[in-house]
Amino acid sequence: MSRVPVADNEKSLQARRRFLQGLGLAGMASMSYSLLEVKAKTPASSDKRWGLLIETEKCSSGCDACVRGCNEEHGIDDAGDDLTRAQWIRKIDLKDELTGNETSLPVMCQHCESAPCVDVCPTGASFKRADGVVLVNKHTCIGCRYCMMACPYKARSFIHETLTEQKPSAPRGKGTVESCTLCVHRIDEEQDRQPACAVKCTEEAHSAITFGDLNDPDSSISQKLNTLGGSQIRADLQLNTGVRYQGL
Amino acid sequence: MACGRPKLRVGPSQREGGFTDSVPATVSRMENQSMRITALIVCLPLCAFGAATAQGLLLQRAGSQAENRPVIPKASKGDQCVADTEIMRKDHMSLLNHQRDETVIEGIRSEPYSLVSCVNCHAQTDTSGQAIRIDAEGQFCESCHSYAAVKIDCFTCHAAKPAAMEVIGNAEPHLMRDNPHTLVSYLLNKEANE
Amino acid sequence: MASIIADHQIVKPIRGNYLVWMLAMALLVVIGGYCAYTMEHEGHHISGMNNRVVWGLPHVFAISLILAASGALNSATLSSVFNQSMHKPWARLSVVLAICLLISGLLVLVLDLGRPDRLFIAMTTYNFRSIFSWNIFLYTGFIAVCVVYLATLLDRSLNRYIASIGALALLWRIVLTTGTGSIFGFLVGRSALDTAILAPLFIALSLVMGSAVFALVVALVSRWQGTPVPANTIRQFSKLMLWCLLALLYFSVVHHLTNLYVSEHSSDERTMFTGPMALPFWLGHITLFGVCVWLVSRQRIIEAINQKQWLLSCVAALFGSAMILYSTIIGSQLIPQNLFPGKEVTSSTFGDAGFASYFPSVWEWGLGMGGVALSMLLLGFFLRVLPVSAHVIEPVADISDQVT
Ligand code: HEC
Ligand code: HEC
Ligand code: HEC
Repeated sequence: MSRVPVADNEKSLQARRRFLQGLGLAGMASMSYSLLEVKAKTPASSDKRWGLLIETEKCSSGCDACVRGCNEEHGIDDAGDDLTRAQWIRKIDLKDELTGNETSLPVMCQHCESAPCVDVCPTGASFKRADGVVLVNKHTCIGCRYCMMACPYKARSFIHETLTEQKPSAPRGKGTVESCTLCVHRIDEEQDRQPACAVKCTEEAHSAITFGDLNDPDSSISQKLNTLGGSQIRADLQLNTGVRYQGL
Repeated sequence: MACGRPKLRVGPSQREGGFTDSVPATVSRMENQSMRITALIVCLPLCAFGAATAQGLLLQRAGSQAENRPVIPKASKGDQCVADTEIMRKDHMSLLNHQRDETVIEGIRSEPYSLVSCVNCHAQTDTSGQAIRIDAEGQFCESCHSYAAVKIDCFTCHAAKPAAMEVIGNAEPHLMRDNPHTLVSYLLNKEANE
Repeated sequence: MASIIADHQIVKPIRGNYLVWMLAMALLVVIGGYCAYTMEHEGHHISGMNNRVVWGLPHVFAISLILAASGALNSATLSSVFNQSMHKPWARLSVVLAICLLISGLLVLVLDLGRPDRLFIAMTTYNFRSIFSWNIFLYTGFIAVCVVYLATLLDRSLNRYIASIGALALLWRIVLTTGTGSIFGFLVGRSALDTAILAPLFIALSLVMGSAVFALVVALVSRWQGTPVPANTIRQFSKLMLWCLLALLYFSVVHHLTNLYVSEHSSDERTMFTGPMALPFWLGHITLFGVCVWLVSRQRIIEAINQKQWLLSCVAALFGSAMILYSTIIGSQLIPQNLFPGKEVTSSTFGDAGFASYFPSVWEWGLGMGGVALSMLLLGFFLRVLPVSAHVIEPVADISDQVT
């Protein structure tokens, strides 16, 4: 419990800082719409490898904060048929067949280093960014769903219906495939910006999701991985996933 | 088709081991005739259809050119486009496409030709202050495109309205923080209103 | 059987209900187009497919048509490359049928895309690591090779190239079928598919499906021409079919036995025999086995198979192999993907436990049938404009018969 207020405090500080930043920004913008200046000028670089660490002990069955955070961020409607609606993150509860231990965890695109979806995509719409984020370029996706056949994690959703009222920051539309983007539109904007799922998880006092640069030994994700360890789902496939699980 | 056929109709071939491809002349002529009729039946409607569409298009063009050049709604914000207006008119598609690849593939978000920004500046509001889709009839993107007979699918995915202002008006700090676009457009809007 | 008298003709629209047949096919094509449009317009939620079963009936139809296209070249290959004179009269029809089937299969595949309007992108941007990309080349290349092949068969001055282009076509179809099998063969995430034996299995499937479709088309064309298919030809076709069936059964048995043997796949493999795909699985295999046994007994004991029995065996073989393809493509997706070995999934919002289910919608049936109808419509058209259909007269027959 002691960790939580600190995190909250930190967060509100950060929030205030950003808000002030925003105001300063707006001042600039009112002179000459130049807010875009602060955004990522440099391309995603292979010096970084973005990843997530999920601490399953902190993740509780029945909580779907991360899913809600994700859905809000990307304007994903969670009503409707579970099998045809988009699910970038899904919560799974597990029970060990031997020990009876119960675990709960979110599963999303695992951002594999050697991603099967990228290999199979006929047009190259499925691709891996230099910083390890696996994305669908929806401008070249033809909706063949071969990537969904290939994904071992069932992490991708095909859009089965016409969508309306999308968010400006999250364009989505019928007939293309999509999946977790690690919130690239957020993490590209400015440093230290977290994906929506991690933000929501922290907001609801679980802090089970750590986002960060796996290549940077000083990042909190690397340090946690060092001390706590972290395993991959289906490690036998040797895909070197960017999403790691602790306590699995 | 009809002139190519007699060539294809081959006689006995050495390789194919004694086939006789010969057909009595009467049969051949009869077939030629029915062939031609078939060809006519197939081709006539096609030609007619093609001609009709072409003519229709021409008429439409001519008519609209004479009477009404497209009425392009003025930008609702800012007094300058992200580039020279003349350049924007001519090259916005390639600018957008270029930016699109840079942003999506490389993650560069500092370039000015963001589709979100076009919508922020160019989308209109109706009399009750509600945003109108930028691709609706007579609106910025559509007015010009329907004149030029261009169809774009961008707004089946991309938001056609700026992010909702009401929420920002309630000043939920995390929302303002999370979306500089909306923050700025909100402030700009407020400024314009004052 | 030193020389067969064959006379290649253009089909005349007066006989054997040619026009009725063509109209019926055109109607089916229109219905198929409407179904495709509706599915595209409404979105795929009106189909039986979902995010778990991502490829459904349209893909079974499309793959069947593509495999059958490769198999339909059997007669052309046997005549041009292996110099089997019995098949010579059928070479042209065989090539034309292959072209028609492939075009239709591709069209079904394209019309099921989420964004068929982006076909241009699919044809211009390639990811060369993707087997799918290679297949696009293999399919369009196959059509090109077949067109040239057909020209050499039709034009006497090009006849000397028949053997070489025939050999190229043979090579191409083997690679094409291997490529089609490999679309499914290297999916690490799907335990039922993750095996290289799918490629030879698909070759065997293509031989059976192609021979069966070709036989049915030969019968159809012979009706349009008003000449019965010679008894000897029927016998030869049936023999060919028997061999193809045996090959298919062999590879299928090997496929499933090895899967049973590989311990990580064995439980999924067992569900193939007893799970939701058990019906098509067993129906397919039993039908094929039945046809084999039946053909063998006919061949051995009576040495004479009449046209009805022959066509019946072809329909049964087509049905059986379609069932096998269905159970392979759909069945592999119904089995849950096991992300957590040794753990039981107690809750999930996206079906991580238990079988998925799949019921094809009318739209998918419409699209698939439309594809089949299109191949027949194209065939009818080509038969009308090119001297393709053989009018075979066995040496003993009266030559004067042919002028009708
Ligand atoms: C199938 C959905 C889809 C369609 C259709 C689509 N886009 Fe996009 N677009 C996206 C997605 C997803 C992104 C990535 C957003 C991100 O990463 O922030 C994007 C990003 C962009 C960007 C960079 C982000 C920005 O706002 O500057 C541009 C520019 C862009 N698209 C232009 C276009 C244009 C022009 C068209 C029409 C010709 C179009 N898009 C059609 C889904 C789509
Ligand atoms: C800062 C606000 C702003 C942004 C952002 C912006 N525009 Fe403009 N745009 C303007 C203004 C102001 C004009 C001048 C003409 C007018 O008054 O409407 C203009 C003019 C244009 C014109 C010429 C219209 C005509 O009347 O012929 C085009 C085309 C255009 N913009 C396209 C775009 C596109 C595409 C984008 C997105 C990449 C974009 N604009 C972004 C403000 C903006
Ligand atoms: C001044 C008139 C005008 C306005 C305003 C305008 N466009 Fe265009 N746009 C055109 C013309 C003309 C073309 C066709 C150019 C060509 O084909 O060479 C075109 C083409 C395009 C294309 C490429 C279409 C294709 O099929 O290649 C895109 C994308 C596009 N416009 C986006 C936009 C967007 C987004 C807006 C609104 C923000 C917009 N345009 C506003 C005139 C305009």
